[in-house]
Amino acid sequence: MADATSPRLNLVTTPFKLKGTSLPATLMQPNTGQIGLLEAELESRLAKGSALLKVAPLVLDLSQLDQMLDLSELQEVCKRLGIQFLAVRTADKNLQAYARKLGLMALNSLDRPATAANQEEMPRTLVHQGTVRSGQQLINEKGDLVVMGSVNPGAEVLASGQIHVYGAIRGRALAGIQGDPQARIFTLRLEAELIAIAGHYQTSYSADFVTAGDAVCIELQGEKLVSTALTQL
Amino acid sequence: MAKIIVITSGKGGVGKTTSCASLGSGLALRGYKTVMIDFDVGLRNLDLVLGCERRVVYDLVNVIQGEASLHQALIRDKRADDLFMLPASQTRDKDALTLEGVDQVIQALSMDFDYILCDSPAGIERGAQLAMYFADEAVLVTNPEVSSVRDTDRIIGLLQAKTQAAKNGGKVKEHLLLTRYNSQRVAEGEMLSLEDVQDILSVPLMGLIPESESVLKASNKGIPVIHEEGTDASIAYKDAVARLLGEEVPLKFVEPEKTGFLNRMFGGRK
Repeated sequence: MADATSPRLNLVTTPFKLKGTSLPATLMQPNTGQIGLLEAELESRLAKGSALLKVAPLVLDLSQLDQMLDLSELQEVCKRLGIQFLAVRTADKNLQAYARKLGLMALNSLDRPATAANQEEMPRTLVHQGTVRSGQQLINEKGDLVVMGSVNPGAEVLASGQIHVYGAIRGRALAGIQGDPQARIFTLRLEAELIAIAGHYQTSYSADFVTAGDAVCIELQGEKLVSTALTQL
Repeated sequence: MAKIIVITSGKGGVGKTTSCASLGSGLALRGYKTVMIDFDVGLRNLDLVLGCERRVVYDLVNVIQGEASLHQALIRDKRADDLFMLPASQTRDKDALTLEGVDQVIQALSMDFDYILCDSPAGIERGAQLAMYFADEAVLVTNPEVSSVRDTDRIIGLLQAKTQAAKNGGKVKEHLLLTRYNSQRVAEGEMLSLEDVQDILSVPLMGLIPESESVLKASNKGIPVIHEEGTDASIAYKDAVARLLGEEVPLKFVEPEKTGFLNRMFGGRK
């Protein structure tokens, strides 16, 4: 019999999915360690209706501060004002331990990657010089992919953005692999085995395969892949 | 230093060994000291095509494992004085070859020879990768049919990734050798044309060998077909050797021969 530990059919095999996510939070960089001053400023900001403080949890960044600051007192102030004090970012190990004791998250300011997170997310176009051969796979998970050559049968090119092939696509081309329905595929010659945009795919076997032939642009319209001759644009 | 050329294809039965024997013979006839290494350990064939199978005593694996010296294992061809071959072992398998061993053998041979031809086994596994690893140039033997073209395409990918040249940021020079080309069947649309093949592979053409009975006959006799003077295949292989040496030779056997009425009635195939 099928059960969760030995599924007979490979349909529902995992009880949950795990994915990375990032929460919006407000970062506070205090310029003073005097709780009284901080409290007064917080109160006045709240009175002006600061959404940053009301809605998002607060992360305290102590890396710029060279004075002492009593975390437990600040925690009390936040509790009274209805601000969700979530975490402390500091390089000081003792302070980190103290924060954990207070039930706060301790983030290490030294652990931050050299490049800022938003810089990493910047889409970058990958340009490949030459033909993509059978058995080769080219992936650009963040951005567009340009192939200066053909994609041969048995080769595969994937991109989260657009795919440009200055040659023929005879293998597989998958654009918008992170689910971007705006992604398109451009090629000088379409003889693909399979093309896909944002998970909607067609093989050359299917009867309504988008017209093979000369230079085309393939885009997703609703659920359908539609090709337009580039010379008609 | 010798120039190291791998004869490879991915697919089996397309004419690697036949071509290797003829190209090697052609180079030797031109006066270049040439050695051919049979990398097809376990499926020894090159000695048969050269007609020297009864003179094999030691083989590549013996040399690599230190059981014989290179000079003991090398066999001199009976038709061309400048041609030698290093046979494969028939009783071992390809795991008996090591990268270091192959490196040593090739380095030793480079001192004495102008050309080293590595006859690759079919497939894309270890044996084929060892045969191509030290190559400066590659002859891609391909038949005008889709599966052969795709396998060659795969091999080109490996040449660009898994060779010493590629790892040092260089490139193995590629040559396309189209074998078993039947221009009549191409004209009738039964076979991929030269254009179709080049369109996909985009590799410079080094030779086009017409499909011919003389190739099989010569192989069975143990004579590289390049020695069968006057046959189409011999002419085509000599042209291929010339192109390998950098000479410009017009391409032959692309168009079907115009046959006269009598020839069509009574003439057989050459």
